Amino acid sequence: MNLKKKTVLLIAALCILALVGGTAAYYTATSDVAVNTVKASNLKVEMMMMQEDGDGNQTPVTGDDAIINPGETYSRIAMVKNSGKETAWVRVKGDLMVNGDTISFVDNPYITLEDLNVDDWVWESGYFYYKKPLASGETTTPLFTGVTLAQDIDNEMAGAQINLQPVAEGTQVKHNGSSALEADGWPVE
Amino acid sequence: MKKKPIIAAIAVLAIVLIAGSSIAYFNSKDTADNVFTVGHVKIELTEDEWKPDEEHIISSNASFKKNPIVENTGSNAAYVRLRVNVTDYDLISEACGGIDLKSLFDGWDPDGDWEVVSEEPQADGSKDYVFRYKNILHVGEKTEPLFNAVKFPTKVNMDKIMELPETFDISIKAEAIQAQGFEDAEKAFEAFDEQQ
Repeated sequence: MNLKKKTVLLIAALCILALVGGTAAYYTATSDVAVNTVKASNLKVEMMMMQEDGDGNQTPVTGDDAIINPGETYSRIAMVKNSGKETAWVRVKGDLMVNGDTISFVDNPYITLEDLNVDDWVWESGYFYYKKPLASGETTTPLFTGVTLAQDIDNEMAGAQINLQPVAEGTQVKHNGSSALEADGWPVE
Repeated sequence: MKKKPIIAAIAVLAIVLIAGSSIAYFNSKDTADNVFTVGHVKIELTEDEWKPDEEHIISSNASFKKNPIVENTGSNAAYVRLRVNVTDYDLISEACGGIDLKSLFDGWDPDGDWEVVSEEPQADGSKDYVFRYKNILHVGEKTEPLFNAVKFPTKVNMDKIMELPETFDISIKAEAIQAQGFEDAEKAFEAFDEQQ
Protein backbone atom coordinates (compact mmCIF):
# COMPACT_ATOMS: atom_id res chain seq x y z
CA MET A 1 0.00 0.00 0.00
CA ASN A 2 1.48 3.34 -0.85
CA LEU A 3 1.54 6.39 1.53
CA LYS A 4 -1.37 8.16 -0.05
CA LYS A 5 -3.72 5.26 0.49
CA LYS A 6 -2.57 4.90 4.09
CA THR A 7 -3.25 8.57 4.69
CA VAL A 8 -6.70 8.39 3.17
CA LEU A 9 -7.49 5.29 5.16
CA LEU A 10 -6.29 6.94 8.36
CA ILE A 11 -8.39 10.05 7.75
CA ALA A 12 -11.37 7.85 6.93
CA ALA A 13 -10.86 5.85 10.09
CA LEU A 14 -10.69 9.03 12.14
CA CYS A 15 -13.88 10.32 10.53
CA ILE A 16 -15.64 7.07 11.23
CA LEU A 17 -14.52 7.22 14.83
CA ALA A 18 -15.76 10.77 15.10
CA LEU A 19 -19.14 9.89 13.62
CA VAL A 20 -19.58 6.67 15.60
CA GLY A 21 -18.57 8.49 18.88
CA GLY A 22 -21.39 11.15 18.36
CA THR A 23 -20.35 13.10 21.42
CA ALA A 24 -18.72 16.09 19.96
CA ALA A 25 -16.37 17.97 22.25
CA TYR A 26 -16.80 21.74 23.01
CA TYR A 27 -14.46 24.13 24.56
CA THR A 28 -15.61 24.86 28.07
CA ALA A 29 -14.65 26.97 31.00
CA THR A 30 -15.89 27.28 34.59
CA SER A 31 -15.90 30.45 36.59
CA ASP A 32 -15.25 30.83 40.28
CA VAL A 33 -18.42 30.46 42.40
CA ALA A 34 -19.90 33.83 43.39
CA VAL A 35 -21.64 33.73 46.74
CA ASN A 36 -24.36 36.36 47.36
CA THR A 37 -25.73 36.28 50.86
CA VAL A 38 -29.15 37.98 51.09
CA LYS A 39 -30.58 38.83 54.52
CA ALA A 40 -34.35 39.12 55.07
CA SER A 41 -35.05 42.76 55.75
CA ASN A 42 -36.16 43.82 59.22
CA LEU A 43 -39.09 46.10 58.42
CA LYS A 44 -41.61 46.37 61.22
CA VAL A 45 -44.22 48.95 62.15
CA GLU A 46 -46.33 49.11 65.28
CA MET A 47 -49.72 50.74 65.69
CA MET A 48 -49.57 52.58 69.01
CA MET A 49 -52.61 53.77 70.93
CA MET A 50 -51.89 55.87 74.01
CA GLN A 51 -54.16 57.62 76.46
CA GLU A 52 -53.37 60.74 78.46
CA ASP A 53 -54.64 61.50 81.95
CA GLY A 54 -55.39 64.88 83.41
CA ASP A 55 -51.75 65.32 84.46
CA GLY A 56 -50.42 64.75 80.97
CA ASN A 57 -49.15 61.23 81.64
CA GLN A 58 -49.46 58.88 78.70
CA THR A 59 -50.01 55.14 79.04
CA PRO A 60 -50.76 52.48 76.45
CA VAL A 61 -54.42 51.70 75.82
CA THR A 62 -55.06 48.12 76.83
CA GLY A 63 -57.98 47.62 74.46
CA ASP A 64 -60.32 46.86 77.36
CA ASP A 65 -63.96 47.77 77.01
CA ALA A 66 -64.76 51.37 77.97
CA ILE A 67 -68.27 52.73 78.50
CA ILE A 68 -68.82 55.79 76.34
CA ASN A 69 -71.82 58.10 76.43
CA PRO A 70 -73.19 60.58 73.90
CA GLY A 71 -70.97 63.64 73.70
CA GLU A 72 -68.22 62.03 75.77
CA THR A 73 -64.57 62.15 74.66
CA TYR A 74 -61.88 59.60 75.43
CA SER A 75 -58.19 60.36 75.08
CA ARG A 76 -56.85 58.14 72.29
CA ILE A 77 -53.51 59.16 70.74
CA ALA A 78 -52.83 57.22 67.54
CA MET A 79 -49.22 56.98 66.31
CA VAL A 80 -47.09 54.54 64.34
CA LYS A 81 -43.66 53.44 65.47
CA ASN A 82 -40.94 52.06 63.22
CA SER A 83 -39.61 49.24 65.37
CA GLY A 84 -37.67 47.64 62.55
CA LYS A 85 -34.31 48.51 61.04
CA GLU A 86 -35.48 49.75 57.66
CA THR A 87 -36.77 53.21 56.92
CA ALA A 88 -40.42 52.83 55.99
CA TRP A 89 -43.28 54.53 54.28
CA VAL A 90 -46.26 54.37 56.61
CA ARG A 91 -50.01 54.52 56.25
CA VAL A 92 -52.97 53.85 58.53
CA LYS A 93 -56.26 52.29 57.55
CA GLY A 94 -59.18 53.39 59.66
CA ASP A 95 -61.66 50.63 60.39
CA LEU A 96 -64.59 51.09 62.71
CA MET A 97 -66.53 48.04 63.74
CA VAL A 98 -70.04 48.74 64.98
CA ASN A 99 -71.83 45.68 66.32
CA GLY A 100 -69.77 43.53 63.98
CA ASP A 101 -70.20 45.63 60.81
CA THR A 102 -67.06 47.31 59.44
CA ILE A 103 -67.17 50.91 58.22
CA SER A 104 -64.60 53.64 57.76
CA PHE A 105 -63.81 55.81 60.74
CA VAL A 106 -63.93 58.86 58.54
CA ASP A 107 -67.42 60.19 57.72
CA ASN A 108 -69.35 57.87 60.02
CA PRO A 109 -72.35 58.88 62.15
CA TYR A 110 -71.01 57.53 65.43
CA ILE A 111 -67.63 58.99 66.35
CA THR A 112 -65.50 62.03 65.69
CA LEU A 113 -61.71 61.95 65.73
CA GLU A 114 -60.26 64.82 67.75
CA ASP A 115 -57.31 66.91 66.49
CA LEU A 116 -57.11 65.03 63.20
CA ASN A 117 -53.60 65.86 61.94
CA VAL A 118 -53.86 66.89 58.30
CA ASP A 119 -50.47 68.60 58.35
CA ASP A 120 -48.39 65.44 58.58
CA TRP A 121 -50.93 62.94 57.23
CA VAL A 122 -52.90 62.90 53.99
CA TRP A 123 -56.14 60.99 53.37
CA GLU A 124 -56.28 59.06 50.12
CA SER A 125 -58.48 56.16 49.05
CA GLY A 126 -59.25 54.83 52.49
CA TYR A 127 -55.85 55.39 54.10
CA PHE A 128 -54.02 58.12 55.98
CA TYR A 129 -50.51 58.33 54.51
CA TYR A 130 -47.65 59.75 56.57
CA LYS A 131 -45.99 62.36 54.40
CA LYS A 132 -42.41 61.70 55.54
CA PRO A 133 -40.32 58.50 55.54
CA LEU A 134 -40.13 57.02 59.03
CA ALA A 135 -36.62 56.07 60.07
CA SER A 136 -35.81 53.14 62.32
CA GLY A 137 -36.78 53.87 65.93
CA GLU A 138 -38.88 56.91 65.07
CA THR A 139 -42.55 57.46 65.84
CA THR A 140 -44.94 59.48 63.73
CA THR A 141 -46.71 62.53 65.04
CA PRO A 142 -50.22 61.67 66.29
CA LEU A 143 -52.83 61.02 63.65
CA PHE A 144 -55.54 61.99 66.17
CA THR A 145 -55.68 62.49 69.93
CA GLY A 146 -59.22 61.61 70.98
CA VAL A 147 -62.49 59.93 70.15
CA THR A 148 -65.91 61.51 70.79
CA LEU A 149 -69.22 59.70 70.61
CA ALA A 150 -71.87 61.65 68.69
CA GLN A 151 -74.14 63.70 70.96
CA ASP A 152 -77.22 62.88 68.90
CA ILE A 153 -76.59 59.16 68.66
CA ASP A 154 -79.84 57.25 68.54
CA ASN A 155 -81.06 55.66 71.76
CA GLU A 156 -81.23 52.40 69.82
CA MET A 157 -77.42 52.40 69.90
CA ALA A 158 -77.44 52.08 73.68
CA GLY A 159 -75.33 49.09 74.61
CA ALA A 160 -73.83 48.79 71.12
CA GLN A 161 -70.18 47.83 70.83
CA ILE A 162 -67.86 50.07 68.82
CA ASN A 163 -64.30 48.97 68.05
CA LEU A 164 -62.04 51.69 66.67
CA GLN A 165 -59.41 49.60 64.92
CA PRO A 166 -56.63 51.53 63.18
CA VAL A 167 -54.27 49.36 61.12
CA ALA A 168 -50.69 50.51 60.56
CA GLU A 169 -48.93 49.40 57.38
CA GLY A 170 -45.37 49.96 56.31
CA THR A 171 -43.40 49.36 53.13
CA GLN A 172 -39.75 49.91 52.33
CA VAL A 173 -38.52 53.31 51.26
CA LYS A 174 -35.51 52.01 49.30
CA HIS A 175 -36.12 51.93 45.57
CA ASN A 176 -39.77 52.59 46.18
CA GLY A 177 -40.98 55.98 45.08
CA SER A 178 -40.39 59.44 46.46
CA SER A 179 -43.47 59.52 48.69
CA ALA A 180 -45.80 57.18 50.52
CA LEU A 181 -48.50 57.87 47.96
CA GLU A 182 -46.19 56.67 45.16
CA ALA A 183 -44.88 53.63 47.02
CA ASP A 184 -45.72 50.03 46.19
CA GLY A 185 -45.55 46.81 48.10
CA TRP A 186 -48.07 47.54 50.86
CA PRO A 187 -49.30 44.48 52.72
CA VAL A 188 -52.06 42.63 50.94
CA GLU A 189 -55.40 42.49 52.79
CA MET B 1 -19.59 25.82 18.41
CA LYS B 2 -18.58 28.50 20.88
CA LYS B 3 -21.75 30.46 20.07
CA LYS B 4 -24.02 27.80 21.60
CA PRO B 5 -22.98 28.28 25.26
CA ILE B 6 -23.28 32.08 25.00
CA ILE B 7 -26.74 31.91 23.47
CA ALA B 8 -27.81 29.44 26.16
CA ALA B 9 -26.51 31.74 28.89
CA ILE B 10 -28.35 34.73 27.47
CA ALA B 11 -31.52 32.65 27.25
CA VAL B 12 -31.26 31.62 30.88
CA LEU B 13 -30.66 35.21 31.98
CA ALA B 14 -33.63 36.39 29.98
CA ILE B 15 -35.87 33.78 31.58
CA VAL B 16 -34.75 34.89 35.04
CA LEU B 17 -35.43 38.53 34.25
CA ILE B 18 -38.90 37.82 32.86
CA ALA B 19 -39.87 35.57 35.77
CA GLY B 20 -38.58 38.10 38.32
CA SER B 21 -40.55 41.10 37.01
CA SER B 22 -43.05 40.94 40.00
CA ILE B 23 -40.61 42.47 42.45
CA ALA B 24 -41.19 41.77 46.13
CA TYR B 25 -41.12 44.61 48.68
CA PHE B 26 -40.62 44.25 52.37
CA ASN B 27 -43.62 45.34 54.37
CA SER B 28 -45.26 45.12 57.76
CA LYS B 29 -48.71 45.45 59.31
CA ASP B 30 -50.06 45.92 62.84
CA THR B 31 -53.52 46.53 64.33
CA ALA B 32 -54.69 48.22 67.53
CA ASP B 33 -58.04 47.64 69.22
CA ASN B 34 -60.07 50.27 71.03
CA VAL B 35 -63.30 48.75 72.23
CA PHE B 36 -66.09 51.00 73.46
CA THR B 37 -69.54 50.04 74.61
CA VAL B 38 -72.13 52.73 74.18
CA GLY B 39 -73.54 53.41 77.58
CA HIS B 40 -77.11 52.51 78.24
CA VAL B 41 -79.56 53.69 80.84
CA LYS B 42 -81.87 51.03 82.12
CA ILE B 43 -84.13 51.03 85.15
CA GLU B 44 -86.60 48.71 86.75
CA LEU B 45 -89.64 49.81 88.71
CA THR B 46 -90.87 47.47 91.42
CA GLU B 47 -93.48 47.59 94.15
CA ASP B 48 -93.39 44.20 95.78
CA GLU B 49 -95.80 45.14 98.58
CA TRP B 50 -98.68 45.82 96.19
CA LYS B 51 -101.02 42.86 95.74
CA PRO B 52 -102.51 43.25 92.27
CA ASP B 53 -104.86 40.31 92.67
CA GLU B 54 -106.51 41.63 95.80
CA GLU B 55 -109.51 43.93 95.87
CA HIS B 56 -108.72 47.41 97.05
CA ILE B 57 -111.96 48.98 98.23
CA ILE B 58 -112.09 52.60 99.22
CA SER B 59 -113.37 53.35 102.67
CA SER B 60 -112.35 55.63 105.49
CA ASN B 61 -108.87 54.83 106.76
CA ALA B 62 -108.44 52.14 104.10
CA SER B 63 -104.75 51.51 103.53
CA PHE B 64 -103.10 49.45 100.84
CA LYS B 65 -99.38 48.76 100.82
CA LYS B 66 -97.66 50.11 97.76
CA ASN B 67 -93.92 50.83 97.63
CA PRO B 68 -92.60 52.10 94.32
CA ILE B 69 -88.82 51.59 94.09
CA VAL B 70 -86.53 52.24 91.14
CA GLU B 71 -83.40 50.19 90.52
CA ASN B 72 -80.60 51.15 88.13
CA THR B 73 -80.02 48.03 86.03
CA GLY B 74 -78.04 49.68 83.22
CA SER B 75 -74.40 50.59 82.78
CA ASN B 76 -74.69 54.33 83.45
CA ALA B 77 -75.39 56.37 86.56
CA ALA B 78 -78.71 58.12 86.07
CA TYR B 79 -81.15 60.72 87.30
CA VAL B 80 -84.56 59.23 87.96
CA ARG B 81 -88.11 60.49 88.32
CA LEU B 82 -91.53 58.92 88.88
CA ARG B 83 -94.70 60.04 87.22
CA VAL B 84 -97.73 59.11 89.35
CA ASN B 85 -101.06 59.39 87.60
CA VAL B 86 -104.36 59.38 89.47
CA THR B 87 -107.45 58.94 87.32
CA ASP B 88 -110.69 60.85 87.96
CA TYR B 89 -108.71 63.21 90.14
CA ASP B 90 -111.46 65.73 90.89
CA LEU B 91 -113.98 63.05 91.79
CA ILE B 92 -111.58 61.25 94.11
CA SER B 93 -110.48 64.47 95.72
CA GLU B 94 -114.05 65.54 96.31
CA ALA B 95 -114.92 62.16 97.78
CA CYS B 96 -111.99 62.50 100.13
CA GLY B 97 -113.07 65.89 101.38
CA GLY B 98 -111.37 68.02 98.74
CA ILE B 99 -107.83 67.07 99.77
CA ASP B 100 -104.74 67.21 97.64
CA LEU B 101 -104.35 63.58 96.70
CA LYS B 102 -100.63 63.66 97.48
CA SER B 103 -101.77 63.12 100.97
CA LEU B 104 -102.90 59.63 99.96
CA PHE B 105 -99.24 58.69 99.51
CA ASP B 106 -98.51 57.46 102.97
CA GLY B 107 -94.83 57.62 103.90
CA TRP B 108 -93.82 60.22 101.32
CA ASP B 109 -91.54 62.75 102.99
CA PRO B 110 -91.47 66.15 101.23
CA ASP B 111 -88.03 66.70 102.76
CA GLY B 112 -86.79 63.25 101.86
CA ASP B 113 -85.10 61.87 98.75
CA TRP B 114 -88.11 62.41 96.47
CA GLU B 115 -89.21 65.97 95.72
CA VAL B 116 -92.40 66.80 93.89
CA VAL B 117 -91.51 68.94 90.90
CA SER B 118 -94.85 69.29 89.14
CA GLU B 119 -98.57 68.55 89.34
CA GLU B 120 -100.07 68.38 85.87
CA PRO B 121 -103.83 68.04 85.27
CA GLN B 122 -104.48 65.95 82.20
CA ALA B 123 -107.17 66.28 79.57
CA ASP B 124 -108.77 63.01 80.59
CA GLY B 125 -109.47 64.21 84.12
CA SER B 126 -106.47 62.55 85.67
CA LYS B 127 -103.53 64.28 87.27
CA ASP B 128 -99.82 63.56 86.99
CA TYR B 129 -97.59 64.10 90.00
CA VAL B 130 -93.94 64.14 89.03
CA PHE B 131 -91.49 63.18 91.78
CA ARG B 132 -87.79 63.54 91.09
CA TYR B 133 -85.11 61.62 92.97
CA LYS B 134 -82.64 64.11 94.39
CA ASN B 135 -79.57 61.86 94.17
CA ILE B 136 -77.75 60.29 91.27
CA LEU B 137 -78.72 56.64 91.11
CA HIS B 138 -75.57 54.66 90.47
CA VAL B 139 -75.40 51.34 88.69
CA GLY B 140 -76.92 48.62 90.83
CA GLU B 141 -78.47 51.03 93.34
CA LYS B 142 -82.11 51.25 94.36
CA THR B 143 -84.01 54.32 95.48
CA GLU B 144 -85.90 54.57 98.71
CA PRO B 145 -89.63 53.87 98.18
CA LEU B 146 -91.54 56.90 96.98
CA PHE B 147 -94.16 56.05 99.58
CA ASN B 148 -95.20 52.95 101.55
CA ALA B 149 -98.96 52.78 101.10
CA VAL B 150 -102.04 54.43 99.62
CA LYS B 151 -104.05 55.50 102.63
CA PHE B 152 -107.48 57.13 102.54
CA PRO B 153 -108.43 59.76 105.07
CA THR B 154 -110.54 59.14 108.09
CA LYS B 155 -113.38 61.21 106.69
CA VAL B 156 -114.66 60.26 103.26
CA ASN B 157 -117.94 61.25 101.65
CA MET B 158 -119.62 57.94 101.00
CA ASP B 159 -122.24 59.52 98.74
CA LYS B 160 -119.47 60.82 96.56
CA ILE B 161 -117.69 57.52 96.81
CA MET B 162 -120.76 55.83 95.37
CA GLU B 163 -120.67 58.21 92.42
CA LEU B 164 -117.16 57.19 91.53
CA PRO B 165 -116.50 54.92 88.57
CA GLU B 166 -116.29 51.31 89.56
CA THR B 167 -112.52 51.55 89.68
CA PHE B 168 -109.90 54.20 89.48
CA ASP B 169 -106.19 53.82 88.91
CA ILE B 170 -103.02 55.04 90.49
CA SER B 171 -100.40 54.20 87.90
CA ILE B 172 -96.71 54.90 88.15
CA LYS B 173 -94.12 55.28 85.43
CA ALA B 174 -90.37 55.60 85.99
CA GLU B 175 -88.12 57.69 83.75
CA ALA B 176 -84.35 58.03 83.74
CA ILE B 177 -81.58 59.86 81.94
CA GLN B 178 -77.80 59.50 82.13
CA ALA B 179 -76.23 61.58 84.86
CA GLN B 180 -72.97 62.12 83.00
CA GLY B 181 -72.84 65.49 81.26
CA PHE B 182 -75.43 67.24 83.46
CA GLU B 183 -74.78 69.40 86.46
CA ASP B 184 -78.00 68.39 88.19
CA ALA B 185 -81.24 66.46 87.82
CA GLU B 186 -83.19 69.52 86.70
CA LYS B 187 -80.90 70.12 83.72
CA ALA B 188 -80.89 66.44 82.95
CA PHE B 189 -84.66 66.18 82.72
CA GLU B 190 -84.90 69.36 80.68
CA ALA B 191 -82.85 67.50 78.11
CA PHE B 192 -84.99 64.41 78.58
CA ASP B 193 -88.16 66.35 77.84
CA GLU B 194 -86.62 68.04 74.80
CA GLN B 195 -85.68 64.69 73.41
CA GLN B 196 -89.24 63.30 73.67
